[in-house]
Amino acid sequence: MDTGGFSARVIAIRTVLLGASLGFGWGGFALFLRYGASDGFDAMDVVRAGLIFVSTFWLAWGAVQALAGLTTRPPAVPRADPDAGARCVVLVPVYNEDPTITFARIAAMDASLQATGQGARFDFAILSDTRDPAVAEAERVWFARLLDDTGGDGRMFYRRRDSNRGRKAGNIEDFITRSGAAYEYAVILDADSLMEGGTLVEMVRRMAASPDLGLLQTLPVIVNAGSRFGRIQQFAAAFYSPVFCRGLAMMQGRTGPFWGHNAIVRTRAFAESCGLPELRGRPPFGGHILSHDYVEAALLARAGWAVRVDDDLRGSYEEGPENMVLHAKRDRRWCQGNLQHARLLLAPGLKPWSRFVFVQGILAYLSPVLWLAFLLASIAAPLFAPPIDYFPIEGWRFPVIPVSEASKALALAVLVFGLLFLPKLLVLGDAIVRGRARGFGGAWAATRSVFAELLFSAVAAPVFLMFNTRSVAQVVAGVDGGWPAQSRGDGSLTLREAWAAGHWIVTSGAVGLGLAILLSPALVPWLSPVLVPMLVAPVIIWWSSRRGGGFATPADIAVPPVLARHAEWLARWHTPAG
Amino acid sequence: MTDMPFQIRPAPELSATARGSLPDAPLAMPTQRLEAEAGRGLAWLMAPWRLLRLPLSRGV
Repeated sequence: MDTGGFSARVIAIRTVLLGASLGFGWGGFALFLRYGASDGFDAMDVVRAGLIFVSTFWLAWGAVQALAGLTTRPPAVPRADPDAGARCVVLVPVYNEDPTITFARIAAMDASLQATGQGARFDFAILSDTRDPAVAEAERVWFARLLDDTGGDGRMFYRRRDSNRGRKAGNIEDFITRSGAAYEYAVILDADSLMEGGTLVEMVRRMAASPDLGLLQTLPVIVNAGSRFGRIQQFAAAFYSPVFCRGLAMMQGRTGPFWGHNAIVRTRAFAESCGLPELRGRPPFGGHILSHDYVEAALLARAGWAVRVDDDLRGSYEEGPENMVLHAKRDRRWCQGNLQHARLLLAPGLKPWSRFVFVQGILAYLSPVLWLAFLLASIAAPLFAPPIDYFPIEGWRFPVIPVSEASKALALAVLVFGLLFLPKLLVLGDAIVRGRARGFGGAWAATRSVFAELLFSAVAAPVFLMFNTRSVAQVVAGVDGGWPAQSRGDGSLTLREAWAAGHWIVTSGAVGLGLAILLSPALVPWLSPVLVPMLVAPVIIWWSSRRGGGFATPADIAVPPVLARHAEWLARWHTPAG
Repeated sequence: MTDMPFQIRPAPELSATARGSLPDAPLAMPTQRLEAEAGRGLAWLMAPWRLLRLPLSRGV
């Protein structure tokens, strides 16, 4: 049975892509050393070149995945009808969310499932970790309404834990130890997840065809974004992510990813492999495992189960943060979770690729810090540079002017910006040629959206770099980020709120600019793409949180049926009975 | 596949509503070992160093 099995091909692809990324990193390293040595070689040059190596490797790693994703199409995967008695439960963990919105999603998915004719195989379980008593009471009321309006008695369940020990992972574990034996499969969702009934049925069929498949992940598409930031993120996820995901799928072998939701697991496999321990010590590195999904994928693979992402599966949706502050807040949790994985790098029996996935997660958060360290080292470099020796040859009376290596700096800049932008432009070209751009409003609209997204991401990058750096500093300093509820309103911020969130970035930018003028005035123009956005960070945060249009995605142009059903249920429940 | 009939019963300790309580069908979920033992981890980290040192010690 082919479950995307581990093969020489997978090893070859991994080797080529890793080798290419290391090659780019080495190229950046060598270019910088040549440039740095032009005015005399010092220790700071080595430090900066080392930082460039890691940072360029990381950029290249993302770029080569996109290039790989453009070269192939998803393979055919086996499907089979499951045994007649094989049941599937759709798990909906909730934590202080508005129950009308969440339960309307369940009603929509249930209706979508019933429309497939396969609905009898599926149950829903709402697993509440809600701490707010008022929200908990609302959950009970609306659960009764959900049962009444859908006829869900006997196939829709609700329970609330008295203690949210282990957070989401503990919530799922609690369900499995209590009820897991009733189900062959479990679909794990987030409170904001939506899946088409046909997709759920298809996932079960794929699991049934591959008995060694422990987990099957879909690529969720972001929907319902209303703010400028949300719509740009929504567009980027819909336009680029399928290509990046295809590249990832080429390398997965039997050790694919788990992103925590919009995935199906074989309940028995999950139960026997994924009981998570508490790590020794206190948070942020000890205690509960925060980013449990990566660890669960690694544990399934360790136990011999295949983990796979099928990038051809459609009908899988989620919502995203509506402003940069919410995004940074979520990233703070993910940062802590990924850095915590450093404790697990040497966990016994893990597949080498699983360990590499942990390293990737750690690098994702350390890489921006390394870029910042590089910038700071560049500003400070003149303090360490040896004086220029114009008479290096003894007895030679004429000065020797050092050769300018500015071309090397330019080549390095071209390399870095190429790695950042070229993959996205290639995805655009591919979408236009293959007709995928039609789903994004046509070639012109897609081109406009891509360039606007590139511009915004370039402007927003320094702001996120600072948020990211602060998160890493907090985690390393041992400050636990906690687990705040995600706000999912319209997300708009006032200028005052944006200032409160970003004033320290302005201060940092001003200090950076002052140091640059003092120590390396020649660098100021080069640093301005970083420093200017920092100086106006609150404006960027505020502007991007406002309601916006454009950035059309396929889900905007043709509303997916399950989203339409969700809107209908919400309209019905939000209309006073009369 | 799992072939275990199950029944619906309230779970009062979980504040569940009686209507729509979870199926009673327990499945063991053993806690996995994830942290490397200190000695093993150190040995793993030191392996390249030992490889480098081996020929020298033979030579001497």
